[in-house]
Amino acid sequence: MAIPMSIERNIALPGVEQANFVKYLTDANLPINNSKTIAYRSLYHILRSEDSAAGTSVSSLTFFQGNYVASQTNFPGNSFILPQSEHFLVTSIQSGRAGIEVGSGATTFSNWRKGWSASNSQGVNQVDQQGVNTAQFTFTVNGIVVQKDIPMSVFDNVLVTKERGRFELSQPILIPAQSDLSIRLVTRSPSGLRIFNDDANDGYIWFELQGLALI
Amino acid sequence: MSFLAPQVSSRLANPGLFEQQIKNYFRASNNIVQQDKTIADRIIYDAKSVDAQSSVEFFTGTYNQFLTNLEGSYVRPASEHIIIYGIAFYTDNGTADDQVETGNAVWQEGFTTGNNPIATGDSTSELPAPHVDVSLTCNGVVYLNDVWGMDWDSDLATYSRGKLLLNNPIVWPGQTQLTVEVKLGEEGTKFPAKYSIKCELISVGLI
Repeated sequence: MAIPMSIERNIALPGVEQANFVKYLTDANLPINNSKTIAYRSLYHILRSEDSAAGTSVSSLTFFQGNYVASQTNFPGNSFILPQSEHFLVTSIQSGRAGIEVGSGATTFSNWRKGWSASNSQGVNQVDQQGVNTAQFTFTVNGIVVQKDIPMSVFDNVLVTKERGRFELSQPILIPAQSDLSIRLVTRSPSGLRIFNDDANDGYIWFELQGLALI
Repeated sequence: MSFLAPQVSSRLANPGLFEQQIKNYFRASNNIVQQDKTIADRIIYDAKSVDAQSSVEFFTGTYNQFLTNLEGSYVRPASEHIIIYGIAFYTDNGTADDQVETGNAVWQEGFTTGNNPIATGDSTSELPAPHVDVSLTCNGVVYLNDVWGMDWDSDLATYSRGKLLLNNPIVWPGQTQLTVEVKLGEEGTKFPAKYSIKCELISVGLI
């Protein structure tokens, strides 16, 4: 594989992309801490949507809010608020599912999938997941809606490429440090955000924000 | 089918330009460039057996020539700086420690598709389970902080399998320390027995 074009540009013009990123933050009136590094960043949150024992599924979930559970997120600092001066420019969003096979006593995640167009990378959609596949999400930063009612089909997973389960943004989303952010996922389906529809697996949904950040 | 990549066309049109730009990049980052060095693709790797551990660090610790292609130690010569633009992971699930440590591992790209880093035998995940977080620190500066192992998608039937190409390149200057840490994201989880991980830094640099 040849060196990616974006890296070539970076090498040809050392510091320019980094300077542009800092200028982007400065133009947004954000304070820059010179001790911070510009880096690739990924932040994720996993939430339970389906209780297999009770046979119920919720109809909505709010990600990057609520109780902080360390095993379900990599947000730094035990909260969903980014530390001061760690601004984050989101360039793509990923989503998918996981499960915990509570029926057999498991306590750790398994059955991970990326994307929502089909049950797995080689499959077709199935009726059990229709509630999720027809759900929509709204992304809010500091009270401002930056993405409204986006269908889950943007996270296509029938592709066996790097784009699987990934929604590349046309317009990056800036999350200033110490901001309040949320992704609210809602379905109108009576089956709710159901994933497995069995007695053994609790269903979980995850969202991941990817991009450039000061860390 | 064969075709020239745009990058190769650019080299043919501007001979020597890219090489010069790489040297300038190092100079711009305050690293000394020795004129007798040549520029080359570098794929630097290190592997570790991680039996029943919950985290592992690469490019540090006990040096084993069968598990890394760095020469002699994890410290590289003073003038051999590199620009890292991608990171790849390989796994081995089933080879005993002593075999891995004598270079007999059977590597597979990515964290899954039979090589899930889970001790409970999950074979249904298309992605790392339990989830792993990856951090990269160079010379005391954190360049990747708990990046989800899912970003190294392991079920792709493409060259990208098990690789993450970076948005922002990372300079690893000669004679400085770089570590990559892989840790399990769920409390109490361990890598399985006879499990090994290899980390590759995809880069270009001076040799």
